[in-house]
Amino acid sequence: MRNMIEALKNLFRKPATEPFPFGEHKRAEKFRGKIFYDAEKCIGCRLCEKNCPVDAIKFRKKGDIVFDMSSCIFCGMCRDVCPPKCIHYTKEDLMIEKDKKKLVSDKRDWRKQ
Amino acid sequence: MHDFIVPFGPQHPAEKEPMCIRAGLEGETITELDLRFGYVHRGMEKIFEGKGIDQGIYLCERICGLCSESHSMAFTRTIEEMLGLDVPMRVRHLRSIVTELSRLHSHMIWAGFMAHEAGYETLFMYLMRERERIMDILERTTGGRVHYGINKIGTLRYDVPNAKLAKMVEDVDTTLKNIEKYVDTFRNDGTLKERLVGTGMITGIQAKRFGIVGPVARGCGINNDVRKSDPYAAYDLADFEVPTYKGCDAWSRTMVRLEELYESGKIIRQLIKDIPDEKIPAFKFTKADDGDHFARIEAPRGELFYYLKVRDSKIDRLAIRTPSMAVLPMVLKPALMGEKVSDLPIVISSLDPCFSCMERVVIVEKGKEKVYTEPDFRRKFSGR
Ligand code: SF4
Ligand code: SF4
Repeated sequence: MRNMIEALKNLFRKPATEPFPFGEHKRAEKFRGKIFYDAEKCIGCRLCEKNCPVDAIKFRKKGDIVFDMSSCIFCGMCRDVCPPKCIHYTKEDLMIEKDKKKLVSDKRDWRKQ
Repeated sequence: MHDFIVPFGPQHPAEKEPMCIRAGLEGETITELDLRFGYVHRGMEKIFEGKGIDQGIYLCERICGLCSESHSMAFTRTIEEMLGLDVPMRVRHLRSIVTELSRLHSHMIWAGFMAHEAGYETLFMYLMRERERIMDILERTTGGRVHYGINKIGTLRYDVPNAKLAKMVEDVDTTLKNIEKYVDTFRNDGTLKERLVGTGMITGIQAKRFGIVGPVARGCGINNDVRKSDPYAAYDLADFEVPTYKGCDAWSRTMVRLEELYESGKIIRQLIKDIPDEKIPAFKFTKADDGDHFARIEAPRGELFYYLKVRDSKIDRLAIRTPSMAVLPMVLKPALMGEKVSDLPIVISSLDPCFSCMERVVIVEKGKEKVYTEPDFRRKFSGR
């Protein structure tokens, strides 16, 4: 009997899971998602490249840095060490691509955002 | 002698991670075992070589998904003790709190899987639903759901405001209250008891002989907890019990872990109540002289041991003994011999294995296991 009531109640209850991927998909304020790089503010100190634990950052020249999102581990080190704070994390966490190369940011891609 | 051999794994629906067991059966009883590891060896210890100390924290978090905070705690403890750093009390409190939260979610997912292996799919779903609240707390406070990345050498990445801590206590209390029903099910349900009591026996003598750690040892009546015997962070200020059971079977291990949930809740509540108000230091790059050090902490699965050697402010060698490594290879055979083949998933689950943490290369000399003494260990791994 108790089970019946529980089963009937469950028919009308909202699911406990998030309505992913179709509903609102909330992330916390401090969430570390895809990297956003502010090329204008960069001073070209290369600290980010030097401190990345997995070598996901490639420095070409000042204002032109390539981030490889497929090997990034979202540790937050590059943001912490950047003196003018030009690296930010977006809330974007869906980075699913068939082609790995699409996850390597080019300067142009970042301007588009 | 065995009638036939049943292969279990490396890909098996009852196993979360790849591992191969070939069980020789006589009727339904396991009489022979052939364990094969090595499917998820990632060479983590090698990756660390040559990395900076500040980078090491983030890399070592990636060793394990469930005890990621424990790994970064062990790493920071090793370095901080080596440098003789004085870590502010607020930092220590917050670290302990995050570690206890990660213990909560680790034990809850484990309890869920245990129920799943025993055939209680609904209990698994209920526990996962409650666990979600803990995951949300962790995401709010640290920014990550799996890898928190909150520890830095001598400090933290973020301070957690007191208002957030109050909300955290509320959420933890709600979760612990909600899971009371499920813990009761584990404790009293006839079917679960039938399957768990007396399954996967590891005697106390075996446990002592193999030197096993964590909840598995505590389920054999050995009171062994690094938080008590070698306190780190703020654990010496917290008042908590170490639950031990003398049953030596899967049920005792289950009960130990479930009671630890409530002890963790107790620790979180106390530490949040007593947290001092002070500013946490800003992040600085770590400079370290050459040297080596080892430290241990209590991860959700038991004692986690780190040995670190530093040269030129870079990591020269990092040797890690994860709790699964201290438990699983030793006790799997005694625990499984003489059991029914249908109990195999339950026994393995009750040991709470984490295969990707424990895959190492083992050196066997002339068919003999080699045990290192401390000077041997230093000579071998640090070259002096
Ligand atoms: S978040 Fe970490 S891994 Fe990713 S690019 Fe920055 S430093 Fe490298
Ligand atoms: S650390 Fe910041 S300022 Fe320096 S090179 Fe990297 S992005 Fe530019």
